[in-house]
Amino acid sequence: MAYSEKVLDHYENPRNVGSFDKDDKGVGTGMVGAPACGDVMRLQIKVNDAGVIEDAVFKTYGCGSAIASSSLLTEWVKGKTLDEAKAIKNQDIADELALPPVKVHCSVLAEDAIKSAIADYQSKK
Amino acid sequence: MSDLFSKNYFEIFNLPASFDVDINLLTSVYRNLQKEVHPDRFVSSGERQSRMAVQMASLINQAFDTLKSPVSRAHYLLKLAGMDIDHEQDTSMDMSFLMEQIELREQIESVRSHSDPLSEVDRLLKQVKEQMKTVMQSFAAAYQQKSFDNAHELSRKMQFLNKNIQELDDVAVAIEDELLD
Repeated sequence: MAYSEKVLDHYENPRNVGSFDKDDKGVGTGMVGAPACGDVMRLQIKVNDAGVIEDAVFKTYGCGSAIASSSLLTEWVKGKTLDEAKAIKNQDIADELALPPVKVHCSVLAEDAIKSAIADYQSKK
Repeated sequence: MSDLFSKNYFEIFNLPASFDVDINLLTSVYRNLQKEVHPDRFVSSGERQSRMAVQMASLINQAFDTLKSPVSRAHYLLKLAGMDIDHEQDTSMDMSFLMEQIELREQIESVRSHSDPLSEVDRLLKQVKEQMKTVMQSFAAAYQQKSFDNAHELSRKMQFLNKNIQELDDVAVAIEDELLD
């Protein structure tokens, strides 16, 4: 299956790959997995006192679409408030990357990962 | 024989619907069934009969393939228990398990930079297979106790571990090929 140019770009030059200390109180860690394809995604956000996401990193083991979805998402959430980040929908990611229907679940994974990261950050408060 | 179509996969092989399956027994019943519905036996029985035989043979194959592998057997058992897991969109899982998965993938990724890559692959394979054994035992117990949500979570872990084993096998083959070159 042919990947879109945007997917290839994120896949070949993933943005913000890395990790933060998950025990840091200002860090929220989201971990999600898709058993059917064996994909695992870790997405971490660093939130300042004003509730704004200052930085975001990810590590994804999965197909190109899963990597591109998480890479794009880390770019999008930087500078956003938690509420703004929570409002990002998987369809926005799928549209931006022109994901084919069989790969839309990769964008679902990314949406779930940011929600899980925000929930983790808030549970530490 | 034609009542085959109303049976579930376990009933086809006359086995109890349980995760613990005697694979030797399953295989020998499978072979006997395939002999019974072999097309050669229906050459003179008319078109309707022989078409039915082909359909039965295909059902028996499908049932055998499903029950043979632990991952698809677990999946099928959950379906028999009424769980809709074909279209699952649920991505939340035991966090520590997913952390372990990331760590393991990192180890697999860096296996080639190891001083002895093949023995490192073997070590990881052993570790994953051990974990798979434990998860499978827990699944069998959970299913028997009708703790289906728990069994479902365990079946998802089995899917991940199965992928890990496949990936490690592929890496081992690739390294061996390179050593031969």
